[in-house]
Amino acid sequence: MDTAHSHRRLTQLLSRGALTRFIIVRLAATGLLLLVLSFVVFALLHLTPGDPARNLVGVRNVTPELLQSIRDKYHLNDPFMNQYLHWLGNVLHGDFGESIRNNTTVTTLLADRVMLTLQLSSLSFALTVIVAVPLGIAAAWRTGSALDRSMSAASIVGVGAPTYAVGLLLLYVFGLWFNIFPVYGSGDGGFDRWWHLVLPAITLASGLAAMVFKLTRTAVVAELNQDYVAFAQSRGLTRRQIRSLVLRNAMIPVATSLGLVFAFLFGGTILVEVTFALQGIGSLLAGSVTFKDLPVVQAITLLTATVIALTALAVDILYYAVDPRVRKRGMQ
Amino acid sequence: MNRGLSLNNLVVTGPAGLIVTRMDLHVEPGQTVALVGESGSGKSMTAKAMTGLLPRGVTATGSLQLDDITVDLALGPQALAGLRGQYISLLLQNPFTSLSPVHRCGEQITAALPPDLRRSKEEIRRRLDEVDLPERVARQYPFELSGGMRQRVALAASLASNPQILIGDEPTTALDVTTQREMLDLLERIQRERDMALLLITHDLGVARERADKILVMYAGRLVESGEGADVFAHAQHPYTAGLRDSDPPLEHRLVELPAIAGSVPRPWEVAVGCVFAPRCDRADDRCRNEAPELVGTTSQVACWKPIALTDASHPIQIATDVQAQNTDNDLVVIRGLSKRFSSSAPLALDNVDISIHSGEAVGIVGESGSGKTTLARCLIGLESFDSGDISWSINTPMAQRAQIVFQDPTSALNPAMTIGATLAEALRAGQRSKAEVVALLQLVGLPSEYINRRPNGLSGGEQQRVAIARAIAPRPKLLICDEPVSSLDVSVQAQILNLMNSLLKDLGIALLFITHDLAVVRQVVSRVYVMSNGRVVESGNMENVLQSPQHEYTRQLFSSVAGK
Ligand SMILES: Nc1ncnc2c1ncn2[C@@H]1O[C@H](COP(=O)(O)OP(=O)(O)O)[C@@H](O)[C@H]1O
Ligand code: SF4
Ligand SMILES: [Mg+2]
Repeated sequence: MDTAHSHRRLTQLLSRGALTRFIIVRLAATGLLLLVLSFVVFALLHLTPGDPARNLVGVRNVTPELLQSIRDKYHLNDPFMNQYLHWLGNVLHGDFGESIRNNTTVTTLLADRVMLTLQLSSLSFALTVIVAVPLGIAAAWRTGSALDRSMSAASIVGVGAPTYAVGLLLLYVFGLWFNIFPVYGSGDGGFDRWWHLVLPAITLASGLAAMVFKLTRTAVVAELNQDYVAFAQSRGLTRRQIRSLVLRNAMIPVATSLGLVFAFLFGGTILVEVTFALQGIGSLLAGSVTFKDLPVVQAITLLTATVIALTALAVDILYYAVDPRVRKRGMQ
Repeated sequence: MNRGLSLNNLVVTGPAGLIVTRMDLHVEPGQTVALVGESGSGKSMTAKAMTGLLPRGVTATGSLQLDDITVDLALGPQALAGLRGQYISLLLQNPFTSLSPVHRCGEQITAALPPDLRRSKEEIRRRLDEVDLPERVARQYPFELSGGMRQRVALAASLASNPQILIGDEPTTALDVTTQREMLDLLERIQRERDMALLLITHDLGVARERADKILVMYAGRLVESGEGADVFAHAQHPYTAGLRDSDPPLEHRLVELPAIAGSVPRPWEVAVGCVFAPRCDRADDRCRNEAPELVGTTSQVACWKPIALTDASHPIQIATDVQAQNTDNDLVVIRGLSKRFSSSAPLALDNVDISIHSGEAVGIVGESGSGKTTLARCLIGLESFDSGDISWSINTPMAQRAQIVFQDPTSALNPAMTIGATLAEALRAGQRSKAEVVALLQLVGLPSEYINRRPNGLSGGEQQRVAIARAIAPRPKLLICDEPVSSLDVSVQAQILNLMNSLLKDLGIALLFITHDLAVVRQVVSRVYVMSNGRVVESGNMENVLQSPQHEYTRQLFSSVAGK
């Protein structure tokens, strides 16, 4: 039996066990965080001035019977903790109660809109990464070149320009002048949906791409100045080999910031959804806040928090996978 | 027949001006040539020019001959790209930064091999074996290894493409003394086995003397002297080489005063006319100041109008009798059973340490990095807490008047925004002394009084360390702690600072705790020494006795590793 081989198998198994443990610990932490958040979100109902039951009635006619039925339905006469546990139980089953503004359950109201916002943020995330990361790498590789200077200038404009202005510009140019992309609405599902999302996604991506470009460029330039690059060159490694050394190292800070970018995207679609009249959760949230539609606000807040927390978890796991130093610390 | 490497007429120019001026060197296969000089003299720039790795904004001219290929350096770094690896490789100083932190060592070593060999287990085992590393290192990451092991990995990596010439730019400087010797032995063995040419760049005269067949001395971007092996120092012809040799503290005896070279190394481009060394040379005359001497000679070469002849009387060196530790019982501070652990998983940083310092006495602590020296100093001055044991002082003044500390790096220890005068005035206030003493303080540490209005930035490393010492003695402490005070300084400046410390000891009558890894340095200052290893005091006694008959195995190891001394 090859002892070196069995030794390696053992370390592999051990490190796999360590990864599982790491994920479990981080999942538990994420769960705890969300639990605390859910409590705060629930407390919103009671922190809003006035009688919770009346708040839940909204603009309907307030009759004693209606109030009573709402009190029963939301267990408003129970002790606070019981109400919370009851609410939490429902939430875990996907039941956020009924919307005050629309006469449907919050869940039905959200189902389609969450999908749209997810699609919108995923599309603009993909655009951001596909455009900004390679450009950042290329600019860093040729610091001071024409490409680097023009991209760096463009990124300053990109970071500075307000989202709605970019959105309107794109609307006029591609929607109205050239008439390539639809200017309004969410499309009819399938490909048409994605087609409708192109302009809004570009709008969202423009500012972020500029930021990600800068981040990537900075990270790669920092790595290129490291001793190990000079040492690799001095040993006669090929450009390709050196690039792979550098990128693997630069990936660590870039991946972390990409996680933040996605979280930011998911929570920041409001302006674009309003500009392009998209039925996503951003525009829903805007409307619901104005109408004090509490169950909807609660649902959206909790949902956004969950997406952000899960993204953070994904970034941590990625970190663990690409940085052996973190892995080592995780094992201890 | 391989013809080795020749560098002809190298000139390196940076944004501020000339960095290296007309440099020639030749290394035969199987030969070790040492390039020595103080920091900033252009050694690294020479190495980088030879490998086409000059930083942005720095250019080179001249030609490089590798075996039968001649490269015009003016063509830029691309001209050398094809030669790196197979002909010439460069091993860097810092093993902590020269390897990628997220790639396994095996992968980094084999990267320069032909693709079909990269995955061969047999090949990687052979490569690791050559540098005395076990096979498991292949699967480890650099951060899991000690500095010495990392440098071996780096060596294996730089040898992967079987270069004919290896340039080592201070390859042992970042390592502990005991590891340094092993690394140098390894380099020597490999060089012999491979019949490889080795260009060893070092600021350590001992290393050059002990290891090199030929030594080249650089000063401010110029080659000032060259010759066969140890002869270059034994029969130094250039006043700078002689000065460098003399200011290197000896281990065998203690000198009344180290023969230091006055002033500090100029920037290469600041030298306009005449001999580069003229401002610091005590033989300089009008011709020296107006006309630059050429490098002349055959087997040994020197660039000097008035070289030192063999018949010239050398400087008389005065050997001091070692100060005997007085057996007085006027203890200033007594440390008993001091222990400290930084975290539950870490080993003890201090393990039951007993140390006493008498009033007015100079005591040394010697040990490698990580042995607990600095932690002890920080506990003593109250910057760090400890787990058990006690520190009892015989005086009851505020801490500022009991003990003050001087650190290794003066640049980070001084506030760059404050003038020297303000820094010293502040320190005087801490000791409730008058601001009027600032000028006297400057005088005491050998700085002109105009420095009151200057800021640390414009000062050389040696001058900054003088300011740091002045600041430390300002409150008139009874104990001055110096933690590696000369380790970041050049040899010639180090001698000045050691002389200063000796004169302060005499004039002020304060006690000194001198912490260092360098036995020869501590020998010049203290009368009693403690040797530390892994948080414990393993040996202590009179400096002379410890040197003559070291009792502990670790102390003996420390001695045998002091290269060439
Ligand atoms: N990136 C750089 N650009 C311009 N000048 C530099 C650069 N790096 C070092 N120098 C200058 O080159 C001179 C020689 O430095 P170096 O070769 O590193 O000396 P050594 O290796 O002998 O200590 C120094 O005066 C230093 O200030
Ligand atoms: S040339 Fe003159 S100044 Fe220069 S080293 Fe020789 S004697 Fe000194
Ligand atoms: Mg150097």
